[in-house]
Amino acid sequence: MNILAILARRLLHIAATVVLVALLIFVLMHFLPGDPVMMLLGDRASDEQIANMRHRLGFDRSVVEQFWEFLKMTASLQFGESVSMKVPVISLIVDRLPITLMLTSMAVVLAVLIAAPLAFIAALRQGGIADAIIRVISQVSLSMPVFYIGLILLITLAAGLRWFPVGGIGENFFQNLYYLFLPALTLALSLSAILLRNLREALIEVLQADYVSFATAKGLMRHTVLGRHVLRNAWISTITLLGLHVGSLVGGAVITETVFAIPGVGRLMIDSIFARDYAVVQGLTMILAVMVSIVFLAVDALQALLDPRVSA
Amino acid sequence: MNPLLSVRGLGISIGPANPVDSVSFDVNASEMLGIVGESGSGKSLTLRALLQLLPPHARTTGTATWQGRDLLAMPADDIRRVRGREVAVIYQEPMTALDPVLTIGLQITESLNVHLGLRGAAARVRAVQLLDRVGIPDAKRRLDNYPHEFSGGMRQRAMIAIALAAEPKLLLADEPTTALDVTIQDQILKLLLQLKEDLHMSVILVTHDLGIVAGTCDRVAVMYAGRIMESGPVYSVFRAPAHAYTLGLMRSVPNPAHARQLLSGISGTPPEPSHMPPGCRFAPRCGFATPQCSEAPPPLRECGPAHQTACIHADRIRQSVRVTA
Amino acid sequence: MSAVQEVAPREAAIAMAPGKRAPLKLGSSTLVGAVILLLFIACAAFPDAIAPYAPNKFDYRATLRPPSWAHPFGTDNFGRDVLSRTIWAARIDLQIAVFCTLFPAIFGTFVGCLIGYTGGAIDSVFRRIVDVVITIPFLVLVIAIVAVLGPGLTNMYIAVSAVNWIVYARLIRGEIIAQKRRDYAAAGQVMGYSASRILFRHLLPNALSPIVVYWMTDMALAILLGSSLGYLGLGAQPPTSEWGVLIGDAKNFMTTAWWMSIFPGIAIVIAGTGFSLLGDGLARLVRRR
Repeated sequence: MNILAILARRLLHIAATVVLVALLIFVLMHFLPGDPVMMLLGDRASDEQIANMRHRLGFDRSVVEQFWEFLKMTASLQFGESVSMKVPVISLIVDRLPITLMLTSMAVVLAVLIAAPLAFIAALRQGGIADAIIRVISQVSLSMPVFYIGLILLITLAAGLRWFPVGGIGENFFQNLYYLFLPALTLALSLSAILLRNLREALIEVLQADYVSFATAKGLMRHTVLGRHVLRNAWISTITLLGLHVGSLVGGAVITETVFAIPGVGRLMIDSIFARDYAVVQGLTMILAVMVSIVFLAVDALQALLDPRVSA
Repeated sequence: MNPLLSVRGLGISIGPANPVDSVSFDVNASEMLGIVGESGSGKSLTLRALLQLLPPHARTTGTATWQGRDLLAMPADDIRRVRGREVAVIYQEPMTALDPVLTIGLQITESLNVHLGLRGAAARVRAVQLLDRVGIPDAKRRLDNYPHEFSGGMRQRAMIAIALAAEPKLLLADEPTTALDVTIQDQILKLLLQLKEDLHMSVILVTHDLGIVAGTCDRVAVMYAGRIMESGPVYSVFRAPAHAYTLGLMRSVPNPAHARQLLSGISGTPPEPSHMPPGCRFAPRCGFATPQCSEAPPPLRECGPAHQTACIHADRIRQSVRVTA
Repeated sequence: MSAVQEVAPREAAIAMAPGKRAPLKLGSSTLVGAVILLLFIACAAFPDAIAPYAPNKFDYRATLRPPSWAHPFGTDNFGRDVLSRTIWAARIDLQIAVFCTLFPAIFGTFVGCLIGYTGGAIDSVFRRIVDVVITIPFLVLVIAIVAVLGPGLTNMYIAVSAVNWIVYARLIRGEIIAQKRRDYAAAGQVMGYSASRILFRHLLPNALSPIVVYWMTDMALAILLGSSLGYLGLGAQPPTSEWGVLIGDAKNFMTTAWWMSIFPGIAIVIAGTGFSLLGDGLARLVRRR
């Protein structure tokens, strides 16, 4: 089977999953205790106000009808109107998504740049002093919540040394590279703690593999063995690991954006919760799930490209 | 004539364990030496030690003289030049020994590249010849295949082609047929014998299969629990075994010539590398053992032309063979 | 929990892989983990005996004081002693560690057993649920549920439990399926044991150790998640002393009073490290058996 067929099958699987995600979000929003209408209007609302609001939100129709409407809306990326900001949810998301995408992409690049060399050193010197130090650092940073890493960087590098802005974003792409560096580093540090641990294990496994020993036995230079045989195989593990951690990356972005006051979708999510803006929360959850699905798909495609066994 | 490779007193320690202890043997030019033993007898470790391929925490003692130099003490860059160029290795499991994400072609040409300086089209032409020589049909097209696209036997052929790319003088074959079907085993062994003749190379064949040794090797060394128990010309060792362990191994192989003979096997299990018995390491499982066996490790001694044994009861054993036969 | 949730079973599986390391040293790291946990429990059990001040005692003459002998961790903008608040917070954070994981561990194990043992249609449905749940980032899903239920500790427990059991169920399902393939399950069937006896008397005890190991790690993750939600204002609510809440309170004093956020954060790191060191120690112990 070729790569395209695999991707087509994955795409179908993902489409099915997204519909189920929509169902889950719909169920959450409609059947959990807590009446969004009452929350929006407060206890002193008149019956007429309540009826109006229920009609506006479509709550006066049957559940099946409501889910069908929700699916249709989701498919056309229309998530209704933000109650607090009086604009379509989708325009809010479109405004803010690029910043979040930029933040997470920078974080992934930084995380790989941090974790991969350290994992390499630790695995090559397994049991040595460098390995021990690296393992202690990753152990401790595994127990550091993202917001705390962000605060430490803010206090030291931004507020203390004034190397970076304390928050917000710039006016163009290049300014953003600068403004988003510290938040991206925050996210990268928290991601690389997990990445480092898993990658070290994966690298040790690769280094002990027969094919690495055989490559050495062929008389190849050490750097050829490492750069060609070890690295190629380690890349596959890295991509797989990144795919597995994309969910925690998005979760981390929500927190990081709050810490650094970055107007991305994560910050929007938190603000909307406090503004009781359910349409936005619902739409964002949906969009984020779709984005995660796309990343899963991309990881599958990359694996198929890097690992000839996958497309077999 | 000086032997091609001369191993003296090779010992391997991994932590507190000594899986290989004072192993000595010679390999002559154009000779096939079999090393037989159960799994865990240290035969594979011995092979890997010769090219410094042991895991980093393993330590070796003794010498392995190759062209006047000690392989075990060579600096990293020198041993690298020996690997593949003068002494090559093939492994038991071609599926795991070939890099799964690189094409067969690349895995051959990188050897040609590093040892012979062949690059690009020249390297490809040579690679096709090599695959041809090991009997892979349609070699030119097969160059761009990945290991998983080959069958088990083909993979082993490809691994042999890779190992022999630079025409080494000695091939270390670590159970090259164990992972294969019986019919394919035979093809691979024939191929090895053929290549050994064509390239005038010597082979150390490590196996647990006495039948393979009998069919292919000139001389044999029998290993048990990290030591050599008996060594000598194949015909002499098999006709007149001078060690209880060799005898036990032979009796656990069904022999069509003696269809009614009792298959006896060897009772018990080999000792743990960290708790080796004093004296003869086979003594606890040996039917011929006397208290004397457990006093000190018996040294190898001559018991026939070029035939050595580490058993102090060699005569009794030979007598018993004559009686039962 | 936000961090490693999606891969947790895989990571636990790696931890389970047969080790080729040198002889076992349960060693100093596990001991450190145990000491940390004991200290944590002591703070949670007797905060009034350990903390020098009451957690919510205002002192308007001593606001935003840097660390000193009288206030080793300094004071906050209301003159409350940060050390005392950090110690009192241990009570809430231990509660978070237990309440976010206890129900998921028990319920997830039970459901995972049934799914793993039964297989078939129920298993396919479960795999679908897993697909859906890993597609929505853990933190986002929990936040969305909290959004509907309203912020607060109890609702946070409900939200986390509603999602987290799936991780345990997935873990134990895999274990049971692996155990089922072994001979003794078949032997039990031949001997005519009932399904429930095979499952709960024979399969479960053998599959349980990875759950216990993961539970330790999960408590560390729960503290991270709980404090994150507290920081965001979705978990414990002020004036409750909870590490995340304490750091959230310090938001506006980041540049002027670093001690308000740094010290509670160190408490989170130490507590989290304690649980994961213990988890690693347990994993080694299990692997050795």
